[in-house]
Amino acid sequence: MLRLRKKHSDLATGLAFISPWIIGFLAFVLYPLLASFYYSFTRFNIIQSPRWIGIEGYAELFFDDPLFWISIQNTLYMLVFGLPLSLVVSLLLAVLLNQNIRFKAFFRTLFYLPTIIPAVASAMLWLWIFNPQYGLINSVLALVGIRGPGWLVDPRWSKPAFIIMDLWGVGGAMVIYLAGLQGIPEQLYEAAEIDGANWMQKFWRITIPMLTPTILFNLILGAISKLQYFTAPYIMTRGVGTNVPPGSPLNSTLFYSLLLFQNAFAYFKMGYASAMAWILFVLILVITLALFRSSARWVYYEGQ
Amino acid sequence: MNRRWNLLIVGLLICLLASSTALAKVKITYWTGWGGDELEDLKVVIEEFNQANPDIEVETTTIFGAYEKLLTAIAGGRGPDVVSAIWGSQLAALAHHGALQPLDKYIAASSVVSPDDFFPAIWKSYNYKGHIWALGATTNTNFEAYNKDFFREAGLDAERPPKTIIELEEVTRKLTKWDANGELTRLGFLPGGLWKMGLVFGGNWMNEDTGEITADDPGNIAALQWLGDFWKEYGIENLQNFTAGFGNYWSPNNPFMVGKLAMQSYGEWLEQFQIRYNPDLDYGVFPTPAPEGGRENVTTFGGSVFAIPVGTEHADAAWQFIEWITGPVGQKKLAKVFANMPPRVAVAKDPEVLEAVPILKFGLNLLEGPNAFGDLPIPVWEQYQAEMGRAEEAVTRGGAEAAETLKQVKATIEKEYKKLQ
Repeated sequence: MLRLRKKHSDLATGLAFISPWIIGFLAFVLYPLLASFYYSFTRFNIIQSPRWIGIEGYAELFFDDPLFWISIQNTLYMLVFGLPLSLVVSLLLAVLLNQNIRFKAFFRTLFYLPTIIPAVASAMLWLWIFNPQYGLINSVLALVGIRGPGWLVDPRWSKPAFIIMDLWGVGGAMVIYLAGLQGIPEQLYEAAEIDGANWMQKFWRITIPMLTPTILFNLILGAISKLQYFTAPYIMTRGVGTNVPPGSPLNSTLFYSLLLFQNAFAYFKMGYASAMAWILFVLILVITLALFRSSARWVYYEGQ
Repeated sequence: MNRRWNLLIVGLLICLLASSTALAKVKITYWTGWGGDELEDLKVVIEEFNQANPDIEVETTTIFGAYEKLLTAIAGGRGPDVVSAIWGSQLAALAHHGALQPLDKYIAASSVVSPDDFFPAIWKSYNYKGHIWALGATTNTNFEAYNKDFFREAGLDAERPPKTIIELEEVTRKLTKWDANGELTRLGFLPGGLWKMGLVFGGNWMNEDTGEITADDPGNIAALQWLGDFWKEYGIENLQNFTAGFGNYWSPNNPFMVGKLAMQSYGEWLEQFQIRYNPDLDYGVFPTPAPEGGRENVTTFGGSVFAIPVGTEHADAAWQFIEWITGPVGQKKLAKVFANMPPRVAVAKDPEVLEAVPILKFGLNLLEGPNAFGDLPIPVWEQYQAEMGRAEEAVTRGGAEAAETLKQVKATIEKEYKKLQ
């Protein structure tokens, strides 16, 4: 009896200690989550009470909203072309900065620096870098005799522009790779050297396999951030001089989250936006699960 | 002893009086969309209201560039007591979705506000479904400006701006300059803004009697076609790259101010721009030229409006502030500091105001004419304008077909509009 009461009070104490998180989770995560699920089946302008419309919103998205499909295409473009490039570049940087070079700490700081610049500030900066007339990129291209494209004002180059811009911000992934690289036991390389392996062989046979858990981590985080791509295009893609909402030119940078935001906060379509949010959630879930599933085949954990 | 008691009583009385006036003072929060220098000017005007009304204190907060905050704040029951961070173009939507309180009962009881005081078209724009939802302290008209020096340089009569669309096209060609590499260095004119251009070409965007969306009206199609042809003539890529090099419109790098454009669309603020950014600029203004069968002297008007969101406890005090700032006194002060068109006829014609901002005379004629157009009183107007912008992009930058594009716009907006009925 005494022991039982003791146990009981332990539980209460434990719950009391964790209660800030529990209450926060219930009020600010679980409730909004469930509420948005309910709202996704309603017509809701966030001021008046929602009206039930069943799956009408979802049906409209899939069958009667061309912008929805355009935004999915644009977003997947970033995922398929932008993400692998970011992963490769950040890995290469990490490998280079893992060598014993002079000013190692300085270069590591230099490449990490862009990630601590506020997203809005760097967006404003890149707006100028991509300027077709006065921008840094086109000025450099002009030096070698190339007439640079219109970048953000040209629908063919606007998404590649964002991919280039994202490469500037790979510092975060790079630091994670660096940590992973330093976790690779030195004796593996020593053993390989004794066997006469060159650096290529060491890279492909030791570094990459030992790094696969880190690659998986960066891959999943990167995929999620690409699917939620918002801040930079929101700042950088307002049509100039017209009342075109973000996503210009010709909807070529209308990413999923931009369309969601527009529906929710400019057009009073909170129910519709909730449906979009849940579709995005399922999409992220499916992609993440698929990556995890596939990881059994290519990710090696130590001790396996 | 007696004296002491007296002192104590007097002291108590003073305390009581002080606290009762403090209690009676109502603090109202006011969210504005004005920022920067204009916000500072606005605060000076508001301070005058605070001085004149000791029982009310207006606290001004700017939400410049973050207008979306308003909707979530109102929904969360934490909205301001007064807001002017609302464009006329959002008014119908906010009213429709229940975000605002109607002002009818206040207006009926007011000795300051009467419908006849305002320009009729503007008064109509405060109306949605038979109620008045907001009042404006400022508005603006629009027209074209031209650089007289460039006219002379091209051998044109600097006192005779283009009158017809054909003349506008010819003058634009003469004023446009290319360098040896075939790059644009100056553009005669850059037309844009499908809403207004549709009206200029005789189109209508809606039949207000039947509620029908008429985006594919022949006038609108002709206007969009014309915009597309303009871009084709000068080359889509040329214009794209040239205009991307334009500085911010609201800055000293404005392309008309630095001479990259020989003609540009403007409003009353042109005068302030010129004084501040390029005092040497010799310019003139003219109404947007119309094609045959189109509309002459068209202006659209808009601007921010003052409204009371739902959920405020201080609606009466909020109204007092709105009544003052959109009244003759407030409008006159704002007209002078912002150089905007006052929506009240008497203020707009006040010699003192016209002397301070001479360009208002030009806009005044447009506003009093038959072709002054306000925002459409439909809750999907924001989306309608966004779709117009997309259509304009698709035709001018993407080479899409005007009639087909506008048919799409019509279908989209009809669908959205129907959902709200």
